[in-house]
Amino acid sequence: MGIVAKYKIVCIAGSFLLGLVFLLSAPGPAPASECDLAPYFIGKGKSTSDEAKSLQYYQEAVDVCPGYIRPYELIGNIHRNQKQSDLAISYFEKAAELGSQNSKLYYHLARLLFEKGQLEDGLQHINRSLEIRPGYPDALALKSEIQKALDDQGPQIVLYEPSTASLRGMLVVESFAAMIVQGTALDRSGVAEVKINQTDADLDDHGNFVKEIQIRPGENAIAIEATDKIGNTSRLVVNVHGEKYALPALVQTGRYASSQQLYSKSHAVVIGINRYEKWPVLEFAVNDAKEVQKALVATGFDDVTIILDKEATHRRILTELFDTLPRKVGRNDRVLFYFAGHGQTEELTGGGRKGFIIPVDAEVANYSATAISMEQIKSLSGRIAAKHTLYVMDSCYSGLGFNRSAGIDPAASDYLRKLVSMRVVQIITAGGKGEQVQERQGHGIFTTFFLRGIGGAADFDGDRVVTGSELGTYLRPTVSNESRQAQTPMFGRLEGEGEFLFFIGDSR
Amino acid sequence: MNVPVRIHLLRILSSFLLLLAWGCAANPLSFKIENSLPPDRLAYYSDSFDTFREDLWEKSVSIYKDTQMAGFQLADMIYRGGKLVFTTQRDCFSKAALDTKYTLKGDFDIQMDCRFSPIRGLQPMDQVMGLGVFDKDSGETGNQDLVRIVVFRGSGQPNNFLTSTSKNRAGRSPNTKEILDFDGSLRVIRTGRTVSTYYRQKGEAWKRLSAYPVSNADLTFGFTLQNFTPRTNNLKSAVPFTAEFSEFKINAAQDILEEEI
Repeated sequence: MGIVAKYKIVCIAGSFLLGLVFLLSAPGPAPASECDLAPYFIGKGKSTSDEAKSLQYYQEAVDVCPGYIRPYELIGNIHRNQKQSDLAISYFEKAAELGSQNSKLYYHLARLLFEKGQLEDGLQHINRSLEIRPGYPDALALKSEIQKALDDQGPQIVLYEPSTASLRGMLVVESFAAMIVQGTALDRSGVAEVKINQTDADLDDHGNFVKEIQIRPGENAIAIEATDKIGNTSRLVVNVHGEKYALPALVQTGRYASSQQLYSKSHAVVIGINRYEKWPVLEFAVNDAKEVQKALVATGFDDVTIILDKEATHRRILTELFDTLPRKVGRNDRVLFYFAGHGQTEELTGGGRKGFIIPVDAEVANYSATAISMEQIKSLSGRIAAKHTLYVMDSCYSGLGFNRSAGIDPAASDYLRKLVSMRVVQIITAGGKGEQVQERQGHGIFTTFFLRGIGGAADFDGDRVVTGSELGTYLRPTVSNESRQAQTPMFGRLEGEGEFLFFIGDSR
Repeated sequence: MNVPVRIHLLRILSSFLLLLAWGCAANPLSFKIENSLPPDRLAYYSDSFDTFREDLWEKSVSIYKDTQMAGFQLADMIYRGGKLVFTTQRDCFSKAALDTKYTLKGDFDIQMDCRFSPIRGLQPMDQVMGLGVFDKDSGETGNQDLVRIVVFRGSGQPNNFLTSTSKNRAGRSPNTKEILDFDGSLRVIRTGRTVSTYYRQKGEAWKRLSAYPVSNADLTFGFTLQNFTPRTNNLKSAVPFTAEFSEFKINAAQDILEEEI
């Protein structure tokens, strides 16, 4: 072998080795993930005006990455434009199933389902579209169309008060009387307005409505009209017969030995809460409730329900007040509601205030949904037929909306006789908004003096009967002075001109 | 005053007027888009990049050659603190891009904040961050009419450049700038049949890059980060690089046409 040949062999070997070294050291292209190419096919599909080609590119995107959402949307849309609804729906549903967040996908899917008469499914998808893009005009318009197709009836009206079952169309009034009309309007599209005798009632987001109206002697037609958000209206008419009141014949003037002469039955619901789940714990509310229970039994109450601590849930209190109590209270009964626990007053954005009692399980933030508003408490008086109702709240509130009219002139003849025959709802609270209820020696100051008041300390005229107004008149300065003006009780009437009566030492 | 002196004065005056005219043209704030959509409607299409908005953006990439496709990987797209961060993959052709799912009709004025610091040294890969507008109906991906602003560092090149280009005017703009890094805003304005491009480094005033004649077609906006160009056949992208995008704003637009889906 000549030198030249040897040199050639060395060169070839060297080149081979160099090439090998290069191949081993130089990083080659990393293997592409199939899914990485999906956006490429999307781009290709969108940049051609030939639908067949677009479909082909989008299908390639599906083939390389079956979990990639976008090609299903685009293929579905081509089928939609080609009026192939079933195919379009199947691709759109696949995209939805994979978790698309595209508001238009849900809009088109809803439209196709709507056109096929699948209204419930259509509504579900249009709601999803609006969740993703609130205010999306096309979706809002379609939702309205679907709702109209689904809902061609006005709201269902459930009337709580006047309760046609308990009142049987009979309501005793003198010349005129206020009556609460209260209920719920239910409609799948939402309730837009409720009118009672052609005037707007207060309406909340849940369809609960309330309105105070005037009842006159004779026939009173109460017309309730509820309109849903797509314009369907329903109407309910209730007839209430008002009668001229007459003085009860059995009642005598002068001193009354017992409540039996004036009330058929005396009911009380007594609530005390110390151990709140989320609100600050209190010390003596339960003690107060127990003492009040004893005192009420001693002054002639024959049906006292006591609800303490963990029993005093939102649900239990509402059930007691709005279900149990209305079923057992008669027209000639008296009802006392006592609450010792947290109260809260909310400033309303439109001005005014709204009071709440706080059940044991109420939330701290957004408490209004889990507390019981004074509006609800006040509406109880419309649900029960009792002649006299008294709310005693050992909490501080404001915005209760009661008036301070003194009722009948005590000097009038047949004073008590007249009071007894007239319906009344009165309320006494331990203090006003922003005041702190004071506790001392195992009891709240307010309850201490409330017990003394009904025990006789508030019997200013010595007739052994303590009226609601006497009690309020006694408690207001006494508690204020005792608490060094930290709390000043408030009292007044929510309805009527009569008086709640306590009979001193009256035990049945 | 003799004739040469008059001519000299006229020249000075005309130069002054020319400078004044140039100054006005260079200031984008002097652009007033007539009959723009109301701000609340425009705000819907602006994006602060807190999360991916499927209703606004299409993930769509153009790859120019089969050789590029064989080794292609999508660049990472991560939302971080009000920024959309693109990071290329290593050892492959890599790119991320978003296009709007709507087109801009008529005159418009759009801008986007971005930050891009190309990797230093003679890297054997292109480093390209770009944004711009294109007519998606004018051809297949990669061959469409477009105007774009790019910040780039070419393979093996020692410098970074900021420039704008259009399909109809190949090559660099006469206003190509050599820069260190870019941290600021890029802006594209169409008035009539002209698209103008602007940039602004953080804390500085807007500066004009160039202007291009365009058709009256509706235009799609898009932005990208990539480690290759249409011409690239092979590359050694051993190092990933990153660009950040934030605050996309439509300052004005006469109309916005959303895609069907």
